[in-house]
Amino acid sequence: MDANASARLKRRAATIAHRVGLFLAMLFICLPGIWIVLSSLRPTVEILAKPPIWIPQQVSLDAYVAMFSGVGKGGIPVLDYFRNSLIISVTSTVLAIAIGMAGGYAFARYRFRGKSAMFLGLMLTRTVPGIALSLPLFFVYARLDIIDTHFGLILAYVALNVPFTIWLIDGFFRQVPKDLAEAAQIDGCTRWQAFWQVEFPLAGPGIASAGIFAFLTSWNEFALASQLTRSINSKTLPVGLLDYTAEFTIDWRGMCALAVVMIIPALILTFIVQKHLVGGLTSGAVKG
Amino acid sequence: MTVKRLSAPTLLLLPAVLVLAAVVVVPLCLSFYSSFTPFRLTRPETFFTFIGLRSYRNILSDANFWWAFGRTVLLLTIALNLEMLLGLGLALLVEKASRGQRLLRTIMMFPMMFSPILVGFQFKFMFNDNIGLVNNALQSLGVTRDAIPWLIEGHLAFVAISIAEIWSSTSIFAILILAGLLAMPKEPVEAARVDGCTPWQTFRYVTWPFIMPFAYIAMTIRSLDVARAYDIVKIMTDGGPAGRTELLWTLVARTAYSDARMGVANAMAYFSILLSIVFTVYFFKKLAAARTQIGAEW
Amino acid sequence: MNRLLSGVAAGALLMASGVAFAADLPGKFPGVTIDAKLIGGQQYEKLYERIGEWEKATGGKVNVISKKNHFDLDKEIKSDIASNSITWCVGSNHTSFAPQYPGIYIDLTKLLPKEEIDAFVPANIAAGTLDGKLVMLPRAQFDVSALYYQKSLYQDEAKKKAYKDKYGEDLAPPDTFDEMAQQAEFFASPPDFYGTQFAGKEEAINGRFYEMVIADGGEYLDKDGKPAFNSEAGVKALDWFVNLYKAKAVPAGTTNYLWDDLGQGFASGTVAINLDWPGWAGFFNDPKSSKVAGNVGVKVQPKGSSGKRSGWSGAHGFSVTENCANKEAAASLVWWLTNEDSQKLEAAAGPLPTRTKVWEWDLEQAKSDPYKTEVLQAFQEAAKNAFPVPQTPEWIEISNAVYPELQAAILGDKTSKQALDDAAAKATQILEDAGKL
Repeated sequence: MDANASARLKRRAATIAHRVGLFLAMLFICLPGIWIVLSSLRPTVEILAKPPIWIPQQVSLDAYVAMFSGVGKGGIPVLDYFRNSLIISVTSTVLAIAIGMAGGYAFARYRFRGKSAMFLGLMLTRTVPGIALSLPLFFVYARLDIIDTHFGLILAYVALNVPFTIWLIDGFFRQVPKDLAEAAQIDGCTRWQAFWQVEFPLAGPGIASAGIFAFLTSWNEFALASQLTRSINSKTLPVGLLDYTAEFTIDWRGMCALAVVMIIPALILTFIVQKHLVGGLTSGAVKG
Repeated sequence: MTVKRLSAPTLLLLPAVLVLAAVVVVPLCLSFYSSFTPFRLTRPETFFTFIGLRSYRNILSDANFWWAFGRTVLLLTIALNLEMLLGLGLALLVEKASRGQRLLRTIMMFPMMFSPILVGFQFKFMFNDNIGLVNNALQSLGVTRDAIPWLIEGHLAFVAISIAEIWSSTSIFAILILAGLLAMPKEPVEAARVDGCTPWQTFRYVTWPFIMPFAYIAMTIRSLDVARAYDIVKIMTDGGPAGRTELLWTLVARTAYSDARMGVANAMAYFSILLSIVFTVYFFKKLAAARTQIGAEW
Repeated sequence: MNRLLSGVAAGALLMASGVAFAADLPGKFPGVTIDAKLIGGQQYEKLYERIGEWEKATGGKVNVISKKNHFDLDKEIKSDIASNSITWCVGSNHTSFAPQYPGIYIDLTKLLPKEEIDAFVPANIAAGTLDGKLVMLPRAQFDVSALYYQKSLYQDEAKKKAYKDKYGEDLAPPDTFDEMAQQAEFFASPPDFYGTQFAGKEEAINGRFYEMVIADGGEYLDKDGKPAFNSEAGVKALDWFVNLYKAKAVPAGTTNYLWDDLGQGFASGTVAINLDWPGWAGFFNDPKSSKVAGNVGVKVQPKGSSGKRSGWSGAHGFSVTENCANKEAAASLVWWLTNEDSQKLEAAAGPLPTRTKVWEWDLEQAKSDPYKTEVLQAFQEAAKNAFPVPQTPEWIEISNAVYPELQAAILGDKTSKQALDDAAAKATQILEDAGKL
């Protein structure tokens, strides 16, 4: 066997190993999710069964139909929850990105006194566990009368997301060579124009991933939402999940169905946005 | 009166500072104060009784608190390191794939779309000793005949919780490291290959230093955000049985709301913040070091 | 004498307020808006359709400012108390939680006619009465446990014979906890089939333990309010759980089970006998959710060694706050949501009523359905033995201190006596800290 053939064989083996590894990893990631989806489609008697029933015997959309059937017929105000979740998550993500971009840019491009301390300080606001925050926050909100409003939750989520948005975007701006923007300024752009035309597109992946993070954090957050929301005015989907629990009972199938309803938009959004993770790179301008 | 012109960085940082001050700092001062009172939710008048450091003295001399503390550190150490390794592996696997990138990346982030509460219920039912998926699978495959008490036996429960936690959070590492990989210039890798480096050498000396800051960012974000695991643990075991899986957060939450002893709970919470600060500062230092290294190479 | 005085006072108040007679209910409240915090969730929300009818009948308006599950509502009400922001009128309440909110709710006997209150099952009214104040009116969401069992097991000739040979007794659904444990061990064949199961954490295990202590002739708190569960009866009660666990008659995971796991477990057909709540009755007999559908028997809960039956119970209800501006309107709404029509509406879906008349109606309705009749008869019998949790504000806190000790004993980390002594010491500490001892 000559060296060429053995190299080819080796490459072949590597490709197969890669495929198998990828498949196993994806399987492990997907299994619990698939289990949830299946649970929402199958009667409870099949879900937690012994001996187990691996192949679904009866599949139906009953749980979804019930969800939308209105109060008393197994329904919950899912449309209200959905609307609230969407408004709150989208708004807070946009704001967190805007604020985070400003902050991240400041850290990446300027020198100022107490910079490190300031940076660390901002990050440390995230170390406060939600549980230590939820009650005092409730006190403040109660005084301001913004309990159970979209605004209250948006504000909280912006604060929740800003530190790591800053951090992430700062990291990406640092990767964008300074000379690029400087070159643009020499070419007659203002700093503002240079930012939008040169640096912003290059930091695209960072902004996209920060955005996905912020959105998913807000979309799934429970601890604060359960404290700061109360009625259909502002209750979000994660809080709505608990509508399927009563004091002594749980409707697991219904809960799974709502979970699927929650996951689908997040999935679609991620699918769309992740394209921009690479968007900023295609130009190939990252030379410095 | 002269209006002093604010410098650019101040102006850029102002919104962030304002929001964080309103939502975090002010409430934090309130709860910091209350950790020096015997504040009980159901008796608001206790908010004004000052007892100094008594709550802190009590919790620091409480063995249960220290056990919970130790367990939390252990869980964090194990979970974060495994998540980092798995996330790195996952990112490399996905980055190498020639087709289906969009789909793969979306699937990679799949667990992030699950609300922690749901993750809790999901893994609780999967690890149910009698009718859960895991034992059913193990029994069907003939691995064991016994009903393994996943959530009861201390070590197994720790494993079960870690699996749930790792499942739900590895994505964060994967996506950040992947973003780092994508932002990486191709030339150095090419150059390394031309120079005859093995794939491992290329990874170790070219790729890794570049993505290290991203890994540390992920690490720090996660160590800040670990209290997220609270929802999962709360539903899976709520610290039990017999306190075998008690973590700081389950202890704090139970004390705060169920027992309504907010003062003591805040004292515990403040002590646990120390933990987060230590982790954060540590990774922050690492991050800074990694950055200087890159800076030198660029 | 005291009672007479308060009766007179109540009478005077009634005259003044004008809501004196049952015939006047629900009354007229044009322009009045009532802010309400209600328990949310599928099982509880059907009733709220009746709110619209109340609005139509009275001209008032109800503004639902919060709808959450029980535990989150509890958190929320505590937060409201703490931040001094009880600005609402009507709140969902529960007999196990009510003692924690001293003073925020009014005495409903002062606003509602006596004959209306007498129409409720007296035990339910007693459970909602704290320090002589009726703080809540119970809705048709009453909970007490009864025994669910798989009928086929008791009809199996081979099992009957084997049981007779082994214990010298006929095999029949158990009437005492000792029999229940014995049968559980008899039926169990782990890991495929278990005799019984119990919820093993949080208030769930403590509540079960509490009712067993009572059934074994002991006290949880003595008459001075001191923890007394580390008595002989307490040890016997705890040993019941310990022995079942040791004998592997219960699933190994049982100390981590809550009610949801229990329900799913029995429905999976892998558990013989299950002491559980009425909310599951429909679930267990529905072929879509349960493997044992058509095979479910229901019996009154067993007796303890003192001959007394267990009977830990709780009821959901509604309360009116002291801060409420229009208490008559609020009381009218509370009455409306718990009146006969409302209770019929709720009870039709399965939950147990708390009005005597509605019990009768419910049984009448179930006539053509033998399973439902069996369920209702068993639970009606069970309800006769019902008692609430000790009415101390510290109950939940004590629960949280006691349950890890109970678990430690069940898992074999401690002996029963040792665990109970430790638990009693913690409970005593809590009560002392609260200034109760």
